[in-house]
Amino acid sequence: MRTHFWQGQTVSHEELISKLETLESCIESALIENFDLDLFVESCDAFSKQLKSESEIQSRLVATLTVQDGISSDIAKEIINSIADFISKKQIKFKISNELGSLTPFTSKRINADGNIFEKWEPLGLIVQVLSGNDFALPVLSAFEGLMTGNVNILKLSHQSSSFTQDFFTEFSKFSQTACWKNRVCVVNISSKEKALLERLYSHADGVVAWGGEEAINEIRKSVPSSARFIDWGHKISFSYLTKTEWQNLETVKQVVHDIFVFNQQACSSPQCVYLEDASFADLKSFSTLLGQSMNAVVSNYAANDTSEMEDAEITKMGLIVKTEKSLQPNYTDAIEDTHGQWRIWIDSRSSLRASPLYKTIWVKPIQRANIMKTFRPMKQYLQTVGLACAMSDLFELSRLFYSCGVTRIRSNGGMQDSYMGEPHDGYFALNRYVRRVSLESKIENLKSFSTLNDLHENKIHFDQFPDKLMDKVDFQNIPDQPSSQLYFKSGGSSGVSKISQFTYVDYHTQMQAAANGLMAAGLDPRKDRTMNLFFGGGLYGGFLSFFTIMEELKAVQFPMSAYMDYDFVGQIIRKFKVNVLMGMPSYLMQLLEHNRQWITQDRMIEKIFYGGEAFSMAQIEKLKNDFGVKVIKSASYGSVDMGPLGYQCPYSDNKTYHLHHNIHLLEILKLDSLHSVDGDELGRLIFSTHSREDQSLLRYDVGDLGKWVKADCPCGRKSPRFELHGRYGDIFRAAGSFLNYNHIGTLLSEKLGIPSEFQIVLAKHGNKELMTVKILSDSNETEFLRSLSVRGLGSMTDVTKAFLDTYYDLDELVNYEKVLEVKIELVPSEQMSRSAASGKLLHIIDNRGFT
Amino acid sequence: MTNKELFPPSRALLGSVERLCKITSPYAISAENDSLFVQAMKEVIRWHQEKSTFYRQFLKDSGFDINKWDGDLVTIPSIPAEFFKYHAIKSVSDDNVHINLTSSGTSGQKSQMFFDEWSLGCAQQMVDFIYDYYGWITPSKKTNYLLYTYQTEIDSKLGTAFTDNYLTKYAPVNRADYTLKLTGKGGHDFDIFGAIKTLQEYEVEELPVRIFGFPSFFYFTLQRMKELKYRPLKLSPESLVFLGGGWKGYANQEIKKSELYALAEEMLGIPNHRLRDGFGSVEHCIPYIECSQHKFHVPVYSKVLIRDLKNLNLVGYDKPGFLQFISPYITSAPANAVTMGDLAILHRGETCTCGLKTDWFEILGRAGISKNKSCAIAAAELLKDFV
Repeated sequence: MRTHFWQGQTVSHEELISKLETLESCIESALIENFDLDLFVESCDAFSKQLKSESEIQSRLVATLTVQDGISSDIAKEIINSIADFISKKQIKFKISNELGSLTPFTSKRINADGNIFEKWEPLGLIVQVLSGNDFALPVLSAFEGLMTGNVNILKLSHQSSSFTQDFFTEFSKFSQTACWKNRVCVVNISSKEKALLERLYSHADGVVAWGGEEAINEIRKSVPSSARFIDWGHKISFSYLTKTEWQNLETVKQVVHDIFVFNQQACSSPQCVYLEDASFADLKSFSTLLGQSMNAVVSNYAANDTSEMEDAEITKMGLIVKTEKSLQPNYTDAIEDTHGQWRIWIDSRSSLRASPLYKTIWVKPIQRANIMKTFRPMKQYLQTVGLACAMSDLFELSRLFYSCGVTRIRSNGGMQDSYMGEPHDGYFALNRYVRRVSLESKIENLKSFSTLNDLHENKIHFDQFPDKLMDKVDFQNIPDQPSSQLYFKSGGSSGVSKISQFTYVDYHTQMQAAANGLMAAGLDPRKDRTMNLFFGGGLYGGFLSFFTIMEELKAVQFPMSAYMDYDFVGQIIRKFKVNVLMGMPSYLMQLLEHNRQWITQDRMIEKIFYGGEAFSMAQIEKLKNDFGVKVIKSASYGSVDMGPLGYQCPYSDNKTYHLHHNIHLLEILKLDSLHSVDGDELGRLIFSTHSREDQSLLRYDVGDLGKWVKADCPCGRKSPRFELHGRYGDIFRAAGSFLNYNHIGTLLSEKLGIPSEFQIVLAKHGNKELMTVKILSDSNETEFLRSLSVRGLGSMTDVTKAFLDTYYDLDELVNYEKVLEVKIELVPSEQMSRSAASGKLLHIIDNRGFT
Repeated sequence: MTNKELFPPSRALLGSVERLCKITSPYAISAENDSLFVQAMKEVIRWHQEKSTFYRQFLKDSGFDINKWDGDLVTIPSIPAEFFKYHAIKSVSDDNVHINLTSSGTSGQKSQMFFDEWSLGCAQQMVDFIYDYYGWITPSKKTNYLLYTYQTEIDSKLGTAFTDNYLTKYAPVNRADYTLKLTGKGGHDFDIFGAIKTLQEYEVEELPVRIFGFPSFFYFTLQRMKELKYRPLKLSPESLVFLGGGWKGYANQEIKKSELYALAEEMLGIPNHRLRDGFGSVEHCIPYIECSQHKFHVPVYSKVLIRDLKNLNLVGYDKPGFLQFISPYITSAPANAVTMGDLAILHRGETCTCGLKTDWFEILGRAGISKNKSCAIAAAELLKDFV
């Protein structure tokens, strides 16, 4: 019975006819559904793995090919394997970014900083794909190209096709949890003679893809309405071209034989003619003799011709003409043929390009270089590959000539049919033909800090497979070194052991693009701002380099200074080049500003500071605003080396509030002591999952930070979820049996006592008790320090300690009632503070208690 | 109907050729006719060997010596029909070229065959003999014509009353109308509604109607009438449909001949046995005309052999292979043994119930690869500036 595949289901012919009645509304609803490209890619990747394993799916599909199409199970597996490769995450992602210029081609992106103009790729809509019957994998691959670009695809197979394509999508449809693609693919078995049905399909199409021979394509072209883009993938012809020294070279002859034999000339890139530059008829004959000898020597190494009767007839017919032509005049044509009928060399004194009947049949023809254009250009629509053998000195001239004639591929002999990942097809990137470029301009003022319109809509990323278990730092460190990794950065190392994160460049740029968008949201204006990048660099540390890339992505003015210790020089450059934005770590920035206090407090030219690595205290922020006149102080990015940028700030974020980079991460906030989600705005652990990695699965990664949801909509207009950061999970420490929070201590010091500085907590044993020393970074003496406090009348550090304990009830209880803990606050010059060797970050808690 | 008497370019050298081609009983089987055929072949092979440098060389390259030939038709070197599409081969001087026919090739390639008066005329005369055999020469019956052929300039100027189309000579023209009309810009348009209107008028006039030409356009006419739910016509039962020329650019819409005939019977009321197809080609002009059972019987003027698709050996009856025609009729070009690009089967004469005893053949399609199935893209296109 004649069946079709329609949006995930097998339907009868009668059902198809009724589906076609309501085709337009069906397409409309399919198109309006959100197409989640990333989820689709995940789904493809999971299915790809099924196809490659000895799965039931694989064996069912192999059965279709062996039973219906009559091919061996080895070849069937090869075909299925080639499809599996094509739809692996790695290949799809590569293809998308290669052919559409980015991994997120369907995200509206700002095209320049001047106006609010956004562009993106958009699917054509409905693509009707007309497939020719002779390739098993092609309909599936072609459908995937249509799907990758978000189109709705109706595949018209030839009437005689087996059910392989239909079975494939039925299997995929059953396997995949992802709904977004299922309404976007239909496979119909309609004969080319059912014109009325076809024309009905075409009338709804936004694009018609035609595969096949010239006549079939022309026939389709005639029926396609002008409202649809016509995309043809026609048959092509290829040939070898050997310069004089090369056709006398036995090695070259052997390579030519390989090209002719390896696929029995069944590919469009297989040679059908061999051209000898500057050859006489006698030269053609002696070359052909040599070619014939080479063929005889190796013919048994290649697959025998598997010709049909009609293919034999074609060979016989053309051979008969060549042999008849031989009688026309001397040195006109000749034929050298294998006595066993396996191969044929037809010599022809005319240069015109001729199609061969294939199956180890080759034309040998002479040509003059001066005639290349006039010989080949008339054939331009058919030309594909030239197998070129020439000296390096000829390469430029010959390649230019061939390209001008319409040739799209030039290859070495012996490798004419080899391909590489990302290779264009007959002069095109396929995906590019299946999309259109759309743009948007808006006068809405608030959009100025938007790099992408995606932030205007809620986007929750989904994963095809999601683990129950969380992943921690140790799991992360156990990820083996990936062969594909290209970039290595040190991640932390506070504990003394260097931890390394690996990236591909694609991962890196995906993340930097997100971070760049976040920085713009935070207030960096790439059009006007002149920014000095003062993050630490070197020693595999990622900060300086990342922000270098981010500034480059934003096309913003940048002074790549890094955390340079010559504060005078840094100051001079800021002043001389009118730098108005500083980016760096708070501890470095504070020291730099203090060092240049005199002129900066006067000139007040630093308008914005974007910080990272650690946070400014409230008191420091006050100082920056009041003393130095800084107007905008925002986090440059919230993230970790392991996971990349996780959150960003907007003009409405206070110092602990962030928007999630929702296009690349999923955030869960889980209870401190269980895997349950927090209730409301309860404090919990921040758990991130990402698909911004090519080869690493980073799902449910516990970054060690604490936070809570901010449920209210953000006035900035972005729909990405917001959360507050509440320090490190590790910032909660146990002293004398009770949980204390480093951040809370910082808040109290800053807000209640007016101590703006960075501090460090050192825990030690003290007889029966424990001693908690709060070391406050201060380069001034005690008197100056006491004078700077917001609480008056404190005469000594002991007074400060007492005043501090008064503000922290839980702590006071431990000290004064339970008497299990001593607390001491002391001033320490910056060089005596313990810092992370790798990042220069201040260590928050140093535990010298020596517990096991 | 009178014809001026035709003679071969040399009655002395081609006496047997003349006699064979003038046999008036086109399907008569006799030992005498067979030996006359061999004699005529000998004459014509010698004729071309003498007149054509190419043919002389071709026989030599093929190892064929006419003086040693034993009369076995199988051994005569055969030229592929396609060869004539690429090369202008003549055995007569330009002065003697009466006409050169260019076949309306499917796409691009132009077949050019040269004819002297004899070669074309004798082939046409064979049509006379066959028409006569079937009783289709009716000088006393005024007839209306609908021609699915290209209107000529002369017809255009003189209106539709006159035509020199030789097919109209067998019955006097009452009215004749072309369906492929001149556009005035050098091209032709298919006038489908004009064709339907003409047929409707012919029904009223009740005279016998003769319809000649391309089956494709004839089919489109009938199909349109049916789609428009037009009342089926009842044309005179003495009407005749004689098709030829193939489906050309409309191969993808080709339907089975039996379906076409059923449709014609239904829509025009012409009896099935008066619906006939003809097979012929520029490279081999002998007329093959369907019998009442729609089989192509081989007339006495030619022989048909079927050749193996791979090695060209003789395959005999009832098995498919290349269609090969042999006939001594042509003196203007050495096309006396031609291997066609068609896939065909030869059947014994007695297997047809029409009463004719000569063998008949069945065309299965094109032998070789359709342009859509291989990278041998429009070989035609590639060959356009070949000659």
